[in-house]
Amino acid sequence: MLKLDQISKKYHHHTALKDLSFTVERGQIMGLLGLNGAGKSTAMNVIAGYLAPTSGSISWDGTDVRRLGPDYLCEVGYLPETPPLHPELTVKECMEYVCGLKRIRPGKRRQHIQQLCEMTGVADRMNSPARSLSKGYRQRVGLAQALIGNPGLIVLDEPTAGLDPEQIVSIRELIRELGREHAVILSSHILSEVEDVCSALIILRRGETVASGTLAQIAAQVRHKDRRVRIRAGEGAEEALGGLPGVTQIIPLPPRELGWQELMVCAENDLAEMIPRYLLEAGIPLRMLHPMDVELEDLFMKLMQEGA
Amino acid sequence: MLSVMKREWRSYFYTATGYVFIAIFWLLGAAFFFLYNILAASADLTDLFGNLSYLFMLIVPLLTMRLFSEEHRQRTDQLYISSPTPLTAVVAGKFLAAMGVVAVSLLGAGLYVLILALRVSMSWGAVAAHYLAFLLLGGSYVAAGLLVSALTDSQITAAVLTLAVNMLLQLAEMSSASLVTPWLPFLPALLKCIALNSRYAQIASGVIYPTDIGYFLLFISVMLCAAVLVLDRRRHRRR
Repeated sequence: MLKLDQISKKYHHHTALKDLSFTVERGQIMGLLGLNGAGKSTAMNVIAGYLAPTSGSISWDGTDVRRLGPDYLCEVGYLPETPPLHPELTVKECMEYVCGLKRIRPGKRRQHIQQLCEMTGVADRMNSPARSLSKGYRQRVGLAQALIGNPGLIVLDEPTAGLDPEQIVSIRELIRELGREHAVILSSHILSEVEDVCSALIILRRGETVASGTLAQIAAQVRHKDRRVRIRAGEGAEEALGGLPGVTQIIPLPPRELGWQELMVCAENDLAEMIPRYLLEAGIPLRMLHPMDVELEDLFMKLMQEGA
Repeated sequence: MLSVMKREWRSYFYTATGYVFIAIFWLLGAAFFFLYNILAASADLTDLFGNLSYLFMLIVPLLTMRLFSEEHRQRTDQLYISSPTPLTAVVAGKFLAAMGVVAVSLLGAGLYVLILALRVSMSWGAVAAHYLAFLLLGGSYVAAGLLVSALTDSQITAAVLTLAVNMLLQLAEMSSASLVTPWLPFLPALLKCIALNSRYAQIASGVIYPTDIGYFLLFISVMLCAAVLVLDRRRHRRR
């Protein structure tokens, strides 16, 4: 289990990361979300040992990583934002180099490299120089490098960036697979990807954590301020619902059926039960009512707007 | 360390760097050999190796400029910094790879010695002394270049600074006599002490004192340890 306790990273007067705390267990996939400059990559660099934190501590399986030293780094597989490949080396040589750095026994290297290259779909390019690879291939070789030594903690900074849709699906599937046994931390700009793959989330804004937990827990933190219901009702519904206490906004949507209004009702609390009663009393027929699930995108945008 | 050394060695020869370095060394070495040994009908290797050492000082930035600066720029340093391999092993691996190229260059220069040996009787002890002196001086230049490379993200800056540092080391002894000032009375002695040239000449002439060898080894160790400290410090400062 990885535990971050009050991790901060400062550069002179700029705070890139402030008091970041969370835990990730084996079998869990943690997503890091935030706008550019939110501190996601800094957090990942610190976790992977590339950057030293200014303050705070990181522990792995209950032991401070400063005490574990190289043993911790054996447990970390890191794919940075830009895959670190030496352009003049072939894919196989890049992998051999990382095997050496990760202290994999020479006798085990060939089979391990072959297995990882097949897993990430780069086996057909093992003898190609890294400089000749497309962005997608480079990304997958970077992922294969991160998996060398079967690390307990896998840190992936935008792992699907530059991949085509088919590759994205297969890499997401691979991450899900890895997340069954390993502790995985990933960042992504694709919110649906994080929603789809991660079991827990940390949302960062200017280096600070603004929300954390599962999607449901984050939604609960934000939900009371914004709940939305989509309705299809008779004429006059928009005006009638405007008087309902708690309603913050009514957004008319393009009608789907002739003679019926399509509306998105935003409110501070759950109105799904009150709306039918209210419309009935106003003598307006209700054809459809659909409480909207909280979308990560909505939550994310809301949290970002709150800090703006 | 072995994997770093192997990768660095491959990089020298997958790019033109290694070939260019060796080609310049051998070609200009052949010119010196022709001038100082064939034309002058001399079996004395002092001038040949002396000029090779100056040439080496000028071209060593080719070998060292990208050792760390390019890794910083391409962010491939993430691989070794976030790996269990200690920075000392990384620095040692890169140093040994560069010294491997130096050794290949020197082995090639052995051809000139063999040509001489075909015609005249050679003192192999003197040849060995020249080789030892050159390796120690070369090692010092490479170590200084490696440290400079660790300090910057730009290959060009690393190359220019390495050249400047090596020239300072060369000039230190020459300038010691002219830098007599009442404010810094110890300066000439200090410059003479840190100069590599007189120690190189001493060893090359066959007068081998452990203090001279020790000085070169100490110089190399200090440069390499400083490089390790610089790399570790970057973990704290890097953005």
